Amino acid sequence: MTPIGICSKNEKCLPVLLKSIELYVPEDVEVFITSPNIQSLPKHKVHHFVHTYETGGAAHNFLAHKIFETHDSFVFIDDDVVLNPNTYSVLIDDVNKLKSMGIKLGIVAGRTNYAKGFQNIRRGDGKLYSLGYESEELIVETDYLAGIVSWCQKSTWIDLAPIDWFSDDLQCNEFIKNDCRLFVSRAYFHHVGSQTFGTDFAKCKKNSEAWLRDNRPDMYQKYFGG
Amino acid sequence: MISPICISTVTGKGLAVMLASIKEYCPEAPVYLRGPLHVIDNFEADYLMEGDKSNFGDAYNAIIDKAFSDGFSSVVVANDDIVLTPTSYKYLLEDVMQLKKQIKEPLGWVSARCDAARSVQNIRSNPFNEQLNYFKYPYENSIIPMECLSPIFGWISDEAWNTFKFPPLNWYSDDVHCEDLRAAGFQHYLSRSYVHHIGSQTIGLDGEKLTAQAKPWIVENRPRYAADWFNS
Repeated sequence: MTPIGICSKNEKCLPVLLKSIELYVPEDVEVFITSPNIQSLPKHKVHHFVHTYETGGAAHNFLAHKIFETHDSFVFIDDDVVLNPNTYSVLIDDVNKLKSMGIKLGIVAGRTNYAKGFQNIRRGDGKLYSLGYESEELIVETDYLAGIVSWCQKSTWIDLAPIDWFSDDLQCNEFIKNDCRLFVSRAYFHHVGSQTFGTDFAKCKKNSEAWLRDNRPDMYQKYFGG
Repeated sequence: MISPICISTVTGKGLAVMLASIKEYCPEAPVYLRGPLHVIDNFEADYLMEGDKSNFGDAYNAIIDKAFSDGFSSVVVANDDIVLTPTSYKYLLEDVMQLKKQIKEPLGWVSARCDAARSVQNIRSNPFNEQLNYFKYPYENSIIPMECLSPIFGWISDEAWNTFKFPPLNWYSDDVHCEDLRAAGFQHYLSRSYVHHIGSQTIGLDGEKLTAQAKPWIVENRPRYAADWFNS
């Protein structure tokens, strides 16, 4: 079974995420967690690592390499997510469907209430029913995904930049350069959002500005117009 | 202001996650839980009420009546398949306090937005044709008057509750209740509060069947609503 990886700096919303994993994810799925305090689940095997990272990108990279020592792929989950009963199974079904078509995959990510781009359910198409837009029944290719709940694999993995905001933008850009394709899955999850970096979005942008200017002037131009 | 959270469940399917979110984000709120004994036995709540499967209206009337009889002046009614965010309860009660200061009419339902609900209450809808501001529409930060909404996570006062209770229905129990209260002068509002709603975990998704189940009661007891809603 494809394992799950979670990075948590403050553990604020982690108990609710873990409860949803306990209830909705098959028991033979291993869970890898980096967080300040030891975590456990009643039925799932948990591998815990102490979180010592300054940025989300660095923590995510550590976890990915740790999981890739024993597994070929994993589902990354932000710590302020809550899974639905079918989030994990639908995501894995969609990945298998795409793999069976011979597509070289970068990441495949779920839809949610709090994200930018086409992952945000507000950006659906077609008729709007109480449970969602018609388009939410489709797997959609895109050029940008936030890895909030996302499947990734060792064979195409690209390390995230050691920053918070824009680390996913840069990674997506590199995936596309490597001819890896990105897809929005039919899987849906709840995302509280902004629980680690806060809601001062101007500050979140600013925090990544210096690194981008020094290390990726091409992307600095794109996001800051400088 | 402390308003207890009143929940009725049939299967308890999403309840463990919901109760975990209450414990994390608003542990000060007492929980009143109604459901079949073999289901509620598995959960912790401040008050447990045994009750077999009936319909949404009757089941919720029983547990809400109990909370009011314990002396609370308002309650928060919650579906069993929702998950609270860190601010769901806080924003809902803050909005109630603000509305109480600002409006003259008595308050009916003040209810949260969510990701599975009728239009406008559903965060996907964009009634003012706005551009997304990062991750949300700007109007999601406003309290909005509504004619009808679903109390998926909704506050109600004893004054409103003593005026009308839910009809004995599944579908349309909220529509009938909102209309009854509006006719009595109460005004409903959509709060800035947000909850995640899995949706359709208890009564399913067969809209035609659920409407057919509700129609005879509405035709007989609220013929004017039936004329508006079913053209009958």
